[in-house]
Amino acid sequence: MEYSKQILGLFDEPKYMGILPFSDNIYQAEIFGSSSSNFVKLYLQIDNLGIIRRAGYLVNGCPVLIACCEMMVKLVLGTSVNDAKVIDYLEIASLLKIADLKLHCAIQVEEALYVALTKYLEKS
Amino acid sequence: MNINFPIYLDYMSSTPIDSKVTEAMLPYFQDQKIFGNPHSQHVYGKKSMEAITKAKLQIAACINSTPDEIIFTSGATEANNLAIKGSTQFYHRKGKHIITCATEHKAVLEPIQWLVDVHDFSVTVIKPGKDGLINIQDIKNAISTQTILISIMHVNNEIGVIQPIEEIGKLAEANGIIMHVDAAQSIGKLKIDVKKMQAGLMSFSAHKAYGPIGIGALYIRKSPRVRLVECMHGGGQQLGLRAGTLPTGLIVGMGKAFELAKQQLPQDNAKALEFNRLLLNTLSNIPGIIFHGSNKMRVPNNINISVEGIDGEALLCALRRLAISTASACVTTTQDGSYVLRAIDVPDNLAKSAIRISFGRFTTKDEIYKTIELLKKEIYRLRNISGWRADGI
Ligand SMILES: Cc1ncc(COP(=O)(O)O)c(C=O)c1O
Repeated sequence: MEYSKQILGLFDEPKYMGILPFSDNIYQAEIFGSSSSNFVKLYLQIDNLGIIRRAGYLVNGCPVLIACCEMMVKLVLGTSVNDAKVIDYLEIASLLKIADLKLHCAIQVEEALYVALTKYLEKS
Repeated sequence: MNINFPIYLDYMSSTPIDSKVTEAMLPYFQDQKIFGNPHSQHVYGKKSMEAITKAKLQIAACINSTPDEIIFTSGATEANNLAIKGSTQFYHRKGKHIITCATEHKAVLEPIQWLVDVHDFSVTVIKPGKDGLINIQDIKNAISTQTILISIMHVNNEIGVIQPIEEIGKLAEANGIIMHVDAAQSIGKLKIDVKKMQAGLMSFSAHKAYGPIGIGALYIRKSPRVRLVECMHGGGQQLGLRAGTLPTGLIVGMGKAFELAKQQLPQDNAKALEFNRLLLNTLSNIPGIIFHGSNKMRVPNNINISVEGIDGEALLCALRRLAISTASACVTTTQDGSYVLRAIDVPDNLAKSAIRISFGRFTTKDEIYKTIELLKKEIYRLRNISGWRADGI
């Protein structure tokens, strides 16, 4: 499998992996992939103004999936929920130059983001 | 070595050529007097044939056969094909049943499947134990009056286990059945004695033993004689068993490689054992690593592991400074994981994420230390990303 420079860069040195300790303003999502061991767990800390203050993830999957998590967190950190809502898998895929065969990785990550944001929107 | 080249740890896929082998071969590709067709009667031809005769002696000495029991082929794949198709074509009137094992190389399984599909043979595929080893009783139970061939490999190319060939040989002999052994992975790792093993047919390859790619051999026992129908039809070379002009230079290389393999067996093994211990000392202290294949009946130069909590593709990518292989080098295009690991009941997700590390004569201690550091670091790093913990919390 060949990976783009962008994917390898994020895969080799991810900055945002890890859990955010549980508290009121943490919104979680857990999306499982095709095999039993494959998953993305996303944690977003969103303040009263709807700004994403902190974000973290755990992921078990291929290098592309790991890079997608990292890229998505990079994009949403510091933005408002409304801005984060429009981030989709195509944006992540094009930033990382993901091959068609691996688009499902970006989709899985978009799903995680959607689920976490929906939890916030339902609560507020 | 070029700084951008990963550390080579894929010796079971192919070995680098020993410089002594290159030295021995070179004249046959350079010298204007020893290029001749070895089957020609003039002096050019005779010079080539002399070199081939010498190579046969070297190979015979390495496997304890006589030189006239050796037929050259393009590699172990062709030797396996010739052994399996050739012997069954000759003996099919005696019976049409073959016994083999689920973890054999495809170059054994596929020709047998072809015989089943096209020539009405039946096959019993023995399932080895979880440790990869065949239970001799299973072979005993599979033998019928129709059985004419038992084809079992010596050293497994993926998990490095050593099958009980001598016991199987005894059993085959007692029942008047021919035993074929794929010994592509044995040379340079184990002492080979075709007589003691009571093999009727045995396949070899040069490029797994520091010789060139593209040459191999089939041992065909003379007494009691094993007979074959040829698979390659043509000019009747090699007693009519395998037509085609012999590649003198490659054969000289194979001869030298086998001579060295015999001479250097103690040193080669001592080194493999030392590196094996170094790697195991580290790996067995990391939780959640599963070792595949028997830990006793195995060659020391092979380690096959799965790492829990890490995706196989991620692990391979993180270890891209190492030239290692997932499953077998021959089947890397399939995403299903290794059929060998599945045959020994390794769960799917672990079979998919298995890596094979194999080393040999030219591996250095420094490379092994670097490998150990990289393995430790990357396993730790990727488990941080996945949140995997040994206690499962
Ligand atoms: C056990 C075994 N048999 C057969 C082969 C095929 O050998 P060759 O490449 O010489 O055809 C290999 C190597 O891939 C092997 O490991």
